[in-house]
Amino acid sequence: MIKLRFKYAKKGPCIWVSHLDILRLWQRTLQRVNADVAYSQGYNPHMQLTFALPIGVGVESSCEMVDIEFNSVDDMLKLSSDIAKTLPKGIEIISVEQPISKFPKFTKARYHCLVKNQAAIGNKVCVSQLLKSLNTQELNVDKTTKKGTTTINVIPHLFEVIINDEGDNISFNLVLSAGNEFNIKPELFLKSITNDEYFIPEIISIKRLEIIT
Amino acid sequence: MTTSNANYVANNLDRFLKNVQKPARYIGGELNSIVKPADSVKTHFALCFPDLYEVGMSNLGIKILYGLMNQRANTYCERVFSPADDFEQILRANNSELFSLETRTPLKNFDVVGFSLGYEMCYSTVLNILDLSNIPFLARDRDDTYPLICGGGVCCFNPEPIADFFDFFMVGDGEDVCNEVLDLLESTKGQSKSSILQELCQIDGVYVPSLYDVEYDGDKLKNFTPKFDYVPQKVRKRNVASMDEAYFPTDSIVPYIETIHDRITLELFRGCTRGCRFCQAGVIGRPVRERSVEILLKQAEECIANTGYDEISLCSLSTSDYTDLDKLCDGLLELTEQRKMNLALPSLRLDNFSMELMQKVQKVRKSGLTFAPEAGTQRLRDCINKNITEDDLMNASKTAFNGGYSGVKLYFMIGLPTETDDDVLGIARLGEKVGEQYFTVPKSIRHKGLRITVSTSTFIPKPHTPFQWSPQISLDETLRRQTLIKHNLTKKFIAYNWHQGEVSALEGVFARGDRRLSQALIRAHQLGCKLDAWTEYFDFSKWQQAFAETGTNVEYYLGERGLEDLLPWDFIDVGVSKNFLQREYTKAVSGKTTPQCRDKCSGCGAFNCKIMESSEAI
Repeated sequence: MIKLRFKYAKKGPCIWVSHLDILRLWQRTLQRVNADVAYSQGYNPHMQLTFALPIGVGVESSCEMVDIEFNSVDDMLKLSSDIAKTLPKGIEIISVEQPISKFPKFTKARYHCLVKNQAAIGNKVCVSQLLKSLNTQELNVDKTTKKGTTTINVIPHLFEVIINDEGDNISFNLVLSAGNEFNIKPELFLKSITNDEYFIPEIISIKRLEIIT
Repeated sequence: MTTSNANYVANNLDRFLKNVQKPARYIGGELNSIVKPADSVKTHFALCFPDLYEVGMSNLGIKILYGLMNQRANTYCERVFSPADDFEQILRANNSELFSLETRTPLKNFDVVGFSLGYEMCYSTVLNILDLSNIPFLARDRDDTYPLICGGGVCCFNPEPIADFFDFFMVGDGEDVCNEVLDLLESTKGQSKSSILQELCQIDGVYVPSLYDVEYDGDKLKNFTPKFDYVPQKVRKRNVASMDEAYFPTDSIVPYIETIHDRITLELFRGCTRGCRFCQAGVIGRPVRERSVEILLKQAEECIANTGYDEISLCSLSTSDYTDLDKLCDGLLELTEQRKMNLALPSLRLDNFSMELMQKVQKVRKSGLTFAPEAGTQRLRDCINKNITEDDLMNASKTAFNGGYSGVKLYFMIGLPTETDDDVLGIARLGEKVGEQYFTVPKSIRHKGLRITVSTSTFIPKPHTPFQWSPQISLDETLRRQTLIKHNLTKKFIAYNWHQGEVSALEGVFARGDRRLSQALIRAHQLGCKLDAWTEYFDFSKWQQAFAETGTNVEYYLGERGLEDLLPWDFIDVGVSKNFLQREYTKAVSGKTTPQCRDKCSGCGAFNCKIMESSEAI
């Protein structure tokens, strides 16, 4: 058995492909190149793929990782380039390596968001208002999931924020809670700071830059 | 923000996709999708499927035509699907038009827009797609600046209800006629629509509705006549002569999202030798044409390498009638087992279902079993020429339970010609009897959790079948017979599913409809009807309103037709003669069966039939 870790980017139209579909995309890719993938034992054998941290629909990323178990691999780089050739447009392998250990528990992620402000106010004023509003212990927002709506205080889940006036747009460099226990999507953060007077965001793009333990 | 730019949503797609469900339906760019410079081709073809992406991308016909057309250097074929309502609302709110997936081009900018018409319930969606493209519905309202609108698929065996919307139809196997049509369109490029259509109608299998006059006498069709001498009296359906030589794509698009049939499909054969009297596919697909094991295995291997799917499904009207099924399955299993793939064998017939075959296919993963006795009693099964006995069903069920299956699905129709309440009750009786077979299998062998699913749908008389003259039961009668079954299925292990009677009533109207129905379709569209095959979209009251407001006589369309009547689809020559259909109809009423083609040729008249040729020689 040999485990390989593929680091890859998700961009272009592929940002609209859900996590579950990305899993199936990898399974098919491995089937196409006829890789000697290890299957789980049991009634319904399936490939052994582990993703570092699922990503939301609509988010671009340059830091996706998946661990795949193989029964045998002749040449890691050759396999990686074979896979790269048959991946659909928008999924690009960045590197491949043999990991020393399994994924650690990731709890945070760094994002870059580009936003157009629809409020009738200059970006400069807006940025200073936003910084002011973030200088607080409590910033509540309604989070709607399948289970219902709950109110969440965003501040304990916000670890870094840099806001820049980019001319036409405003950029955010954010570190937010991510993962199974607490996951604050960048969209939810932007919703929490939305204000009718100075900040009505229209999202241009969201990129995940890094996942953090 | 609104704009007058028809391309606004297409050009700013990322901005809108975050607010829709399954955004990957609209992005294109999937593996194996074709990118060509659209300006450098002679014919830019929009291949439209009037349903959602995940349905259309499961359709084998779409895969074949997409691959076939894009093989041509001078043709670029792109895909168009119906948007779901959420995306449609975004298009409408922004005054934007529907667009193709490959180059995000509005339909109006194509040379040809071709619809795949597989099911009558797609008609309202065809209109909705035209509406979302700002293309007038009626062919006569579209001048030369609009693309040619054409249709293909099984609905073209009676295209009359939608004839007014289309410039031309292609009747029969698409891969057989497509190249001829595209060649002609290339050589006539720049000419007026009317002169192109004049030439198109000379191609075998092409039907140009505007070149025929129709006249009615009361409810009935009185005359159907070509307007000019050069227009053929009859349109002869196209047939692929050799399945081994026919084009088949082994590098089909692999969608990002899960589709309805998310697997490799191999087509074993077209047509069927059985001659069930309700079955349209069996008649229009005649004669039966098989693909060889060698070619199928080669196609399977290529498909796996090009797509990476984890399942292969065998497609045909009656899989177990394939001559070399054992050899094919052995060959396929060699490919699939090694790769942990699943092999699915749908459409197995009860009378030649074998334990051996079943054990072969379930080696890797086990899928469910479905049998189709179609009718509840022997008398009625003889009437429809199903040629399956109760013993066949019991033996097959026993075999299944012995082989480790604990669930069996049974498929029936209600409202078949001559059906009585005893036949209806027979459905419940058969369901329970199949369940009893389970308890004859020793506990040590049988798997736990017996589950019998009885499904019924309403019989719809279809054109070109021996039952094309038969009446369809009314909606009230459908509901009564469904209730009768429900009340008589008392065992806990049986679940009963039924097909919505309202949908069947509608399908029945359009299946044997004529040109007068186009007005009802337009009205239904105005009332908001679309995607009628989806329960969340289907609204029967709107259809009733549309029929009432357009004075449509629904009872006539669902009613019995006279053997001497001129039928709206009589001008389509499927090979099988009206004479044969009448003979079969008469035999049905008197409960006489007809042997299948391989046992004895009945001289149905199918084009180029090897069985008929050899039996005549004898």
